[in-house]
Amino acid sequence: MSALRWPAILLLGSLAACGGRPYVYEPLETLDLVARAESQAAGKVRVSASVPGAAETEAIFGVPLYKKGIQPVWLQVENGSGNRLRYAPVGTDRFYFSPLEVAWKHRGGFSKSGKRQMEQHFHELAMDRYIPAGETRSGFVFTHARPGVKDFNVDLFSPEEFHYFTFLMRVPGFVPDYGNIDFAAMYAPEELTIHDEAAFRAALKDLPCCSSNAAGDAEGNPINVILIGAGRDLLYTLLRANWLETSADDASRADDDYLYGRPQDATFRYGSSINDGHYELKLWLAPLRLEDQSVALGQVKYVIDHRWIIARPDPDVDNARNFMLQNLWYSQSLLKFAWLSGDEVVPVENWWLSFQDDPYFTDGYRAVFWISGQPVSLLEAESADWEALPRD
Amino acid sequence: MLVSGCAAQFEPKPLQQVPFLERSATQQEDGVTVTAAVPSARETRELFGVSLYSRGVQPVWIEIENSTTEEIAFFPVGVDANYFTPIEASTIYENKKSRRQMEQYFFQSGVDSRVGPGETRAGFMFTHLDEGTKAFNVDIVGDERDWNFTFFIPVPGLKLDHHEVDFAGMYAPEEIEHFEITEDFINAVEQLPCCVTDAAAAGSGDPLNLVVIGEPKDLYYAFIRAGWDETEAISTASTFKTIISFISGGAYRYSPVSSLYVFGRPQDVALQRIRQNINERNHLRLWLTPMRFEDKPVWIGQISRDIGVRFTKKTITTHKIDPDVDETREFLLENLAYSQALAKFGYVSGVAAAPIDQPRGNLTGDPYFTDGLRVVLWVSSDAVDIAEIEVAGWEIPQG
Repeated sequence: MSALRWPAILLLGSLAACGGRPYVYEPLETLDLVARAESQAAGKVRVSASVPGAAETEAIFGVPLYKKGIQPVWLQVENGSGNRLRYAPVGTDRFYFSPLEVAWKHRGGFSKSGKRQMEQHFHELAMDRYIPAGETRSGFVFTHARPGVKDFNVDLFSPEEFHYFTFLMRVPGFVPDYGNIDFAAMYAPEELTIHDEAAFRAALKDLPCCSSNAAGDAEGNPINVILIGAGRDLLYTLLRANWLETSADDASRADDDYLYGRPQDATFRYGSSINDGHYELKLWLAPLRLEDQSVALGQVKYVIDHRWIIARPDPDVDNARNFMLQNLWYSQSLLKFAWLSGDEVVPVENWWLSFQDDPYFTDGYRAVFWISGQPVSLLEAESADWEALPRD
Repeated sequence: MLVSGCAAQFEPKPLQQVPFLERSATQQEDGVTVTAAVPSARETRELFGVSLYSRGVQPVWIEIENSTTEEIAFFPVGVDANYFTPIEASTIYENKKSRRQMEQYFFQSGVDSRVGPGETRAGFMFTHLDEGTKAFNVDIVGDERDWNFTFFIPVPGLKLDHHEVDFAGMYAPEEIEHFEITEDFINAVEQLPCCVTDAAAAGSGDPLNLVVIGEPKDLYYAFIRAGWDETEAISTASTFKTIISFISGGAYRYSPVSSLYVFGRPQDVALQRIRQNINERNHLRLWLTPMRFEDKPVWIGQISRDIGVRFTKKTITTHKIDPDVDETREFLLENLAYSQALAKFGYVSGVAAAPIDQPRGNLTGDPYFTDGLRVVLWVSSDAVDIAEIEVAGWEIPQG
């Protein structure tokens, strides 16, 4: 036995003698979590919020909450109004964890007094439900972890007034797959910009039908969605619609498809549970712009994944395209949409195989989505008078 | 599990031979008629040749009749935000021999999302399984307006606990106390028992911190709308299902809950709500009281948030509940409010306060602390916007 291991064994022995380890954590003031909080105000009510990354969370709570899929969100409400406000955590996460539930999940290994201290710490750091008039309250709400970017609401109520705030903030310690791509330098903008819709529509008609393999000699799945919007809006829209970014160092990321001689610029994934399938969206920045708006070409498909079967893509790629229309519509991000026919019609009776050997069929239509940075109600979303999707 | 290994022949029955449409429900509004029906486990097996229910898939029949002059679009995500695609539903069973045939059959059975003027379209959507009652929205969008229909369709197959209770005959007319004056009602509610007991009416368990006002139908719609599941009555079948799910490492969503007692009887209604996964849930029990307030039945109840499983001397295993029972109570209020199922709320006292450093224990020895208040919830079967909820200015919770 090496000399190094003796102290460790002695330490373990002494811990066992006290019946578990003590509870230790770092005071919130030692971290910059509060200093970097983002704030929003409505009338005399100001809300600040900040999301700690995995390491910060472990420091604050002494236990690794992220490992159990729990992400704390720090909130502060300054209530300058004359009404007592009620904060509703279900507005932030419909299935939020209660503070003592989180403590219970992490109780293993602590001494009796350690467990009690931990419970007390979680209880004290929790966000209060009530913010009296003229006062400030702050604390954490425990949500389901979302990698990449956290988007959440803070809803405040009183019998006299309501306030709804929406936050979107990057979680420290996560680099998305597109993080190192310089989109601004990808194309020369002056060559690409189109100003009128008819010319733009014609340009969209000329876009490639499908992705390909790396060598460019075998076709992949169709490019079936086109997104138009300011770069930031495109990203925020997808995040708001519950699409998740892929981490740059995610080993389980999707296989590459190629367009314009390069693999997809970004991959997003929609669907929370591993066993229930997920939508996969691959995006390429297109070499054209509509006025000051970027255009992204997308390939969306659904991957069937269930504990009883081997995961495989759904050959009905049109379903994924139609899903995306509903998804953007319901998340109030859709300003306008249009359908655009293509040459590659693949009937359901006679499926094709992509270069990955995945079968698919399609009516050949693409959905074109104009994205809004501001919420658009269900009825405000417009349908452009281009082409009609065929009804069978 | 064995079925998939030997199901070589794919033999679905035609729609006309499976009489589930007899249980369909129809709603109509401004030129759009929607009919919906949910086949049971057995009917689904007949319709699709495989046991979709056992894989967590439930088909829903939707027929849309468009008498307007414009094309309308139906949004499947309104019915189930994570719906299964038809081909996905067909491939949940590996059946190499008939796979292609099944995929085509399921695909053709799918409902169309667009309905032209004067047309009627019908077909199936494949949703996540709900066994007691299937609650869903059918959202339809036209050029200038939208239609929203909400369906609650009972699914045959479960023996539900609240179906066993005769609410109307529970109290004789002379036993019922009618309250019209608010102060009298508050006084009476405060006098109701503080806590549940065991069968022998002994012990003092979880605090009765809920008062619910509404007809049985209001409670049913409100709680189903807010995502609560009914529980199955204790029977050989339900016990068997609980055991099977335990062995297979799962959890049975509708499993019976243990009985707690008020007025000398076990709960009249037990509901559970799964949070993110099936092992995380909240339990709620309600008893009908002999009181009526402003002519509506008054219920008293208890709610707990399971935060884990622990071993006890009395029942071997039990759920560890969140000791912060007020937190769980407030969750329910917000859950109902956000689900548009709450018309009004207020607070009364009646449960003695127990501060965090002097907690009380329930029947299984779990500690809890509370401010001692009961929340009074007027539930609604019609959707109530969150901004329209009334607040009764009775007791004010501190904190």
